[in-house]
Amino acid sequence: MTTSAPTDSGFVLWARLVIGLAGLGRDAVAEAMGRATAGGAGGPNRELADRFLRALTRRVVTAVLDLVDLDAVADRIDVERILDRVDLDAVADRIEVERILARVDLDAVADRIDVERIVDRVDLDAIVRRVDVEGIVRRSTSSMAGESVDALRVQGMNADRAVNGVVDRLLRRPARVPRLPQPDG
Amino acid sequence: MTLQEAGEAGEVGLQLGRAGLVSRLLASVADLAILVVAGLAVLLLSAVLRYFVAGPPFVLPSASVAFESTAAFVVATAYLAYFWTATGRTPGNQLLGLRVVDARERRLGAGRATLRAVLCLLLPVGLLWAAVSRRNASLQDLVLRTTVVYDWVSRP
Repeated sequence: MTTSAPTDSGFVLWARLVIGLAGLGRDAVAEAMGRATAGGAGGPNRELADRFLRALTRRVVTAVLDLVDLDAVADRIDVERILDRVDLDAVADRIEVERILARVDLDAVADRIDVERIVDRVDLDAIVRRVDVEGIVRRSTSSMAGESVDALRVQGMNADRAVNGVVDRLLRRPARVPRLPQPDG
Repeated sequence: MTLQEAGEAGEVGLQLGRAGLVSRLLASVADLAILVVAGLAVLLLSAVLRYFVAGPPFVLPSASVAFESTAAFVVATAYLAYFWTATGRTPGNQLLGLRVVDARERRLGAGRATLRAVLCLLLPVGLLWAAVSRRNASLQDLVLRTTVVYDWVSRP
């Protein structure tokens, strides 16, 4: 902006000058024409001069605008720098989200959602195919079976120990101590 | 890996040890149930085949008591001997987590397994001695120097 300021203000100055000169010229022409025809300031000559100068001004301004490349002017505007100077956080702080949300009727929004249509578009079969139901059932079944077998074995072992204990007491001898089989050799 | 090594490696821990009467009894009952169900299935199948080939009436095949007893004895002996030799455990043993081994913790040879099967079938009450014996040995174990141990981890 700093670099383009003199040019821009120069352009504005120049445009004002042209318009001002046109205004002066209009007055001068009107006065001269008024004098020449002696019709007075509000006479038909004055009106004629006004129309003439209006047309002249329009032509001059059009010519000036044709000369000025507004795209080039726009290109020279540093938008990034403008954005840098804007504190968007401050802007965001001033936005009252709660108030906005309070004004939104979420129920109405929900009512407008066609759930049936969404469900219709979901391929549930494909989802079910992707879930390994058989695998889940197989794993849980085998796990349950494994736990049942383990429970049976534990109970069998406890019963063995109980029977051993009863027999050892009946025979009035020291309790049997579970021990490993003898090593090789 | 022997059972001893497995125990020392902490893989089986207390699972190793001589199995008592109840576990072995339950395993035997399970094996008996399997044999009975299999026998009935064979009978039914043969009856169905006969029905389709020879026509009605639908009757279960029957033979003399001696033949049937001998056949059942042979089948049961083969069943026990096969599993004790091949894996050290019958399906009933597998269910209860038991394994039959010799004095050196090895699987039984075919001869010893067959002999043990015959003795078990001829004298099932010999199993009761496992409750009395300090080594949890049945009469068959005493005769053949075999042992039944808990073995949950090893897989056949």
